Amino acid sequence: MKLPLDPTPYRQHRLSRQVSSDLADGNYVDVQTAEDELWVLPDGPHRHPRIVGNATPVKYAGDLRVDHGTIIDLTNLSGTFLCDDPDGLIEVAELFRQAGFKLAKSGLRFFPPDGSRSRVL
Amino acid sequence: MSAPMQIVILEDNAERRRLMRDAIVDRFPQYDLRFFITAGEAIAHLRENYDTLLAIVLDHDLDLIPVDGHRLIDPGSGRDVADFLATQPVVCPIVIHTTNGPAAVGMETVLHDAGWKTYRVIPVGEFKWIPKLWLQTVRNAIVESVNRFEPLSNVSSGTV
Repeated sequence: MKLPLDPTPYRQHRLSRQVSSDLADGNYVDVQTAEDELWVLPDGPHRHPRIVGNATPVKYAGDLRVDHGTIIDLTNLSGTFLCDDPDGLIEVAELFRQAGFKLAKSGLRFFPPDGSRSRVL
Repeated sequence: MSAPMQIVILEDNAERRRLMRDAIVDRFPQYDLRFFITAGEAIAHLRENYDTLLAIVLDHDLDLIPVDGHRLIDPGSGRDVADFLATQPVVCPIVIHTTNGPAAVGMETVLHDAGWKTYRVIPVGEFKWIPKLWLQTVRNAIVESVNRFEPLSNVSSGTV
């Protein structure tokens, strides 16, 4: 489990929601909770700690872009949770598939925590 | 371990730089973030760090820099950096953020002609565009470019 680097117990954002396949097009930040639920919130400034709120640890976090029910790209990008495990991102992708999303070919993109070159999983 | 990839930003406004730094650190904390306020300094840095560029972000209009209380230094412009990049191998995406529309079109044109992919952000309002529109554009540019660019050491032609 990953604790947020910002320990402020933010209130959960009012636009945060458990994922379902009717997400509008756009950019989102996401987390996988301890209960393997996926939650998303429209992208914006410092949103990761407010998806669940209350400084709650999560299994994984990142961001994504949705276009007509397809996830164009899904990443591990989060300065709040710093997820460094590619297998965790693959697991998140599977949870999105189970929720009814298609993932674009080559859409799974991992950014190593050491700042080296990123890659498609 | 190799040096972290870099995000290089040409931006002379201090408050814009502060908000851009906050936005980048919140999403891309593992990367080296470098700001420059003159075109010359930016070009010199790009020459020395060409193989570690994750993204380049360019403003166009830069304010004259006062020195010694009575002189002004011309910092150049984003176009100077675009003209330099147009002579170099394509290695990363470029984001252009400027309210100067004609200048932006000029930068885009010279870069597209040289094979670069560019993204445009039109600043709206004083600073609110940075944590949302600008960050999303930089994010999308970087994420879309994954695996698109070979490390420069693998590029057989072109000089830096």
